[in-house]
Amino acid sequence: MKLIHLYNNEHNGGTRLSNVIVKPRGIIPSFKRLWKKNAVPYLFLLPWFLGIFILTLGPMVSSFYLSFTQYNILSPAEWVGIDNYKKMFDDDRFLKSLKVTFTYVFTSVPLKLSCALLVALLLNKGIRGLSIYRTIYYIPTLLGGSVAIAVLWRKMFGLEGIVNQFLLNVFNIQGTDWIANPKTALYSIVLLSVWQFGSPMIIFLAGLKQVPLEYYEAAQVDGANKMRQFFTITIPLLTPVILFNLVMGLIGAFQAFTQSFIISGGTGGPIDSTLFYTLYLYMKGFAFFEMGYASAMAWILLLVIAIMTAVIFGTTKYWVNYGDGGK
Amino acid sequence: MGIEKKLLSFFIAIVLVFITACSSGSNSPTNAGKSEQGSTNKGSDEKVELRIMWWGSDTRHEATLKVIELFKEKYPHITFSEEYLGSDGYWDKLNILVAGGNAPDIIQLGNNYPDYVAKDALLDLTPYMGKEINIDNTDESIISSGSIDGKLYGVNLGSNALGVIYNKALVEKAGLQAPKADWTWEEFEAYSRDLAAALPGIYPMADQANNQHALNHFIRQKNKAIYEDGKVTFTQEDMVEWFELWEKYRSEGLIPDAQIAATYTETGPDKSLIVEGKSVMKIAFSNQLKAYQDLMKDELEMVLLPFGGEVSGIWLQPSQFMSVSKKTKHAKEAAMFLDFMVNDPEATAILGTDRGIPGSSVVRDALKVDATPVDQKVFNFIDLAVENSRSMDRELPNGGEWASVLMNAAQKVAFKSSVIQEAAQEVVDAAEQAVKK
Repeated sequence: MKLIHLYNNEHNGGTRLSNVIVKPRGIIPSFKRLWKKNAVPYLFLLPWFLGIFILTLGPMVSSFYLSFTQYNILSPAEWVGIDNYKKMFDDDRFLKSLKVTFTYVFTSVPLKLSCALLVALLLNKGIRGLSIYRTIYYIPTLLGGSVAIAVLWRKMFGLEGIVNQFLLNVFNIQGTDWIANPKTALYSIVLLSVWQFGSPMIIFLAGLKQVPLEYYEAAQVDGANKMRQFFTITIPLLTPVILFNLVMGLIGAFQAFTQSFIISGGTGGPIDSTLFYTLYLYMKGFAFFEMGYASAMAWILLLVIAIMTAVIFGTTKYWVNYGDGGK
Repeated sequence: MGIEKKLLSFFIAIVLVFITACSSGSNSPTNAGKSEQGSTNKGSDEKVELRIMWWGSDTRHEATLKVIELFKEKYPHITFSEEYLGSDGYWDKLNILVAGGNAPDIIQLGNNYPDYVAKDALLDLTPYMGKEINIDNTDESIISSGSIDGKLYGVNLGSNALGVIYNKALVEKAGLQAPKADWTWEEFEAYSRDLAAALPGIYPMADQANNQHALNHFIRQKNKAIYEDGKVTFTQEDMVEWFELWEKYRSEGLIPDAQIAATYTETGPDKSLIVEGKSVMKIAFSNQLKAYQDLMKDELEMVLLPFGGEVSGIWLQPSQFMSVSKKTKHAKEAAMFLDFMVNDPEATAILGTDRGIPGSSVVRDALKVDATPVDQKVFNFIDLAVENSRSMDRELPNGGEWASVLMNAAQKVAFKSSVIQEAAQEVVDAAEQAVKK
């Protein structure tokens, strides 16, 4: 009972709080008042504040500083200005890692989203035991990022792996070593990523459930076939969900690391065909001890992701339908 | 507002628990180390505490702690504070201690010790040689492996040598004799051809064009070095020759094709053809023989790398060194302990060959008596290597990236995605860049 009372108090206090902001009577008293009123909630937020300041913002600030230095851990960091950033564009392996990463992002994300949408559509048919299927298809997402799966993948797509045995026995084709062939190594990792479509699928499924059935009924009455319904009802109403999945998928794909690290044995090989950006960053920092260069790479990655995300958000007015008429 | 107070105290309690949990967590290893310390024994000398730090496996930790106990029994006035961990995190921790001027008195280092000499972190041990540290039974090339410009910065704890491991059962199946101990590259090639003819489906040799140590051997035979007197002394022509040699082996089927070689990079027993019985030979350091043998039934043997060129390419690769911090206040006692580790019969028996084959011939002979068959082979191999070795070159500073570029260049050649000349130039460029760093 007391707790409810307290809650109500806080609730009423909300109006008072806005008063403080609207009519500032000096910052210090209002801060004091804020503190007095909300000390306990702030204290409960403290772990989060500590987390973001000590574990996220602190390292970010120091990595920004380090990106302008030469730093091998053993000797103190030495200021070199923007040398690290300039060096990147002469570094063939850096450029190669960019190419590999972009190829990965632009193949894995669309494939993964298509797969997720397709399965979500099938599961949305109102089949029995939906929750079981949903769980089964979600499992790869839980496992996929793990080292164990990457090791398994390596074995499966190896020369004598199960994939080649299947190809040989069923189609009588002698497969290559998918992991060790520079032409296919990257795509075996793309496949691993596509396989983990569970998380966007769940979100798509939730989005599909939101589409009012009346729309389909009306379309049916007007004689629209299933295909037409899909492209004129389902897809437009699903665009906000597609946007969300696209952005999250893109950010995740740019940061992919574990799979290429394990599958290539930490080398990015063969011939740097799986040298992901983050893997090269890791090698530079923790294998070759060029922390300054690695930090600079991290900031460039942040910039690339930010630009890509901004571009996508910039285009939303052309294709995302928020359904509120407010374009 | 009693509830607020309760919440507040509850919260503070959580924070306190959190803080104490964290701090005790970070302290525990040191506490554990300290509890190993013997009680302070009374001695005639002044009491001395030595801090020592090493990395390794549990076996090494146990053995080293036992040796420290033995030493303390002998010299009761000396106590120890040990810090030991796996190789992960060792360098971070050591670098922070060194940078903070708080380095341990005795430090285990690898072939990267010149980095610490450059930082002026290590003590010159020359004044203690022949006095506290007995060198009567140790080969000069082993002692000098720890010295730069005539000053000794580390006592060699053990050595390995690069050689060719071969599958004895497969050689017998092919009806061939064991390779000659002093074979040349030409004889090696002829031998490989005989193996290829007799054993279809099995590669005589693994693709080792990407192996920086094998390359080092090849370059040394030309009386050059990958790195010497602060400079890169091998050239693009040397690299072209190296890549062409392996390209020839590949075209004749003496080593696997590019794709198989990319699957089996030969960087460890888990990525090696020989373990699966698919190749007869491979190049490896002597301390790895056991790791390979443990994974297979066929018996393995080891032979020196092929001879050729102007001089011997063979060298003894020190596994680890014990160095003394320049800031130590107890240099004499530290030197006494180093001597104990490499010369005392009991201590060396406990340490065994975990840090490579010991440098003292007396210790080697003593260890041989109880050696396992595999160790026996390693001992015999090292004896041969010592006879034929030439003092080692300094390791390329910042060599990690260079090794990775070599691996990549070798793959490019194998997959024909790059011409040999270009790939060769890349390797030389990378070496020069590593030196400049």
